[in-house]
Amino acid sequence: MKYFNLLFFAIIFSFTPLQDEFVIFQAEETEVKKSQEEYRISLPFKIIDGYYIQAETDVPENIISTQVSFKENDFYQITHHAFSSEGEQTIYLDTTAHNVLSGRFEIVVFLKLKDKALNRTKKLRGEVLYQACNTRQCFYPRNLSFEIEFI
Amino acid sequence: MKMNKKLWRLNLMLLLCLLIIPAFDHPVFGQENDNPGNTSDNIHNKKAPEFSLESLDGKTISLKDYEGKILVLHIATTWCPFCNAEAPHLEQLYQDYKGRNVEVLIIDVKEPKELVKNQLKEKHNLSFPILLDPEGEVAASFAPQDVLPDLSRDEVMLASNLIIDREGKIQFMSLLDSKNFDAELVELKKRLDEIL
Repeated sequence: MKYFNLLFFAIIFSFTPLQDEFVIFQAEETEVKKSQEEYRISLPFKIIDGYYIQAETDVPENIISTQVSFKENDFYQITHHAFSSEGEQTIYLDTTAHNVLSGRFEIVVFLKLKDKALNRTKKLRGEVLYQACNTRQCFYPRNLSFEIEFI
Repeated sequence: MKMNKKLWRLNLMLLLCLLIIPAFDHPVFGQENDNPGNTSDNIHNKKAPEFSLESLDGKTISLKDYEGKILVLHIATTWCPFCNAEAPHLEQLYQDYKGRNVEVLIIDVKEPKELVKNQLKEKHNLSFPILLDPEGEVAASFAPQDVLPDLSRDEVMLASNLIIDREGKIQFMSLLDSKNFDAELVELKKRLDEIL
C-alpha cells in the first residue's frame, strides 16, 4: 500500500501546472449601491503583479482589448458599464502606442430592476476577456468568469 | 522483512528514475535558460524540427522547401502586440535580403485563415508566405523545454524569431523579451549578416 502511495505522490508532483489566469476577481470587495430601483455595482479585479493586460479602449485595431460581457436575465436590465483603473498607462511598441492596465481595475455596472423582480435574490454573472503580457511574454487571451449576488 | 527491503529498493529506483528521466527528455535544442531573450548560444547549429503547413494561399509548405536557402522564421498571432510591431520590419527585411538567398516566413498559431489574411497579411502588406499552425504543434516543436515551464510550449514561442541556415540548422533564436524588445530586428540582422 505504501509503495503505491509513494508512487502516486511521485507521479502527481512530477507534473507542473500551467499558468491559467493573470487576473483575479475579488468578489469579497464588490460594492453595491442602491437608489430606488437602480443599482451601481463595482466589480473589483486584481491583475497579478508583474503582468499587464490590454486596456478597454485606446488599443490598436489588432490588439485584443479587455472586454466584459454579462449573462442575460429576466430580472434586471444593465443600462451601462464602465472600466475604471488607476493603473492605466500608455506603452509604445516600436512606434505604436497603446494603453494597458496593471494593478487593480474595476468594472462599474449600472442596472435597473424590472418590476416583477423586486425583493428576490439577484445574481450578476459575466465574463471578462483579456489578453495579458509581462516583461517577457504575451499570453493567449483568457476568459475570467465572475458571479455575485447583489440583493 | 525481505519483501519490505525489496519494495524499498523498488521505490528508491522508481524515484531515481523519475528524477533522471527529465534529464533525457530535452528537445533537440534544449536549454537551461531563465532568460528567454536571445537563446542563440544554446541552440547554435542544432537541426530545426521538420514541419509541413498550409499557407494562406492554400499551398503546403515544408521546411525542406528551403534547403539551400536561409530562412528567417517568425512565430506570431494577429493579436500579439509585439508581432504587430515587428511585422513591418520583417517585410522590410524580406525586401532588403531576398536578393541574397534569404526567405522570410511567418507561422501563425491557432487562428483562422480569414483573420490572418485580413489582420496580418493585408494589414501589414506582407509579401512573404504566412503558414497556419492550427493546433500550435509546429510552434511548440521549436520551444525549448526548460524555458518558462509553466507556460504551454506554443505560448512560449509567440513573437519569437529564428534563422535557419542552408542545411536546416538553427543559427539564431530569440524568444520574446518584451523588456528589451527589438522591433527593428537589429540582433537578427546582425546574425544574418554574419551567416551571409
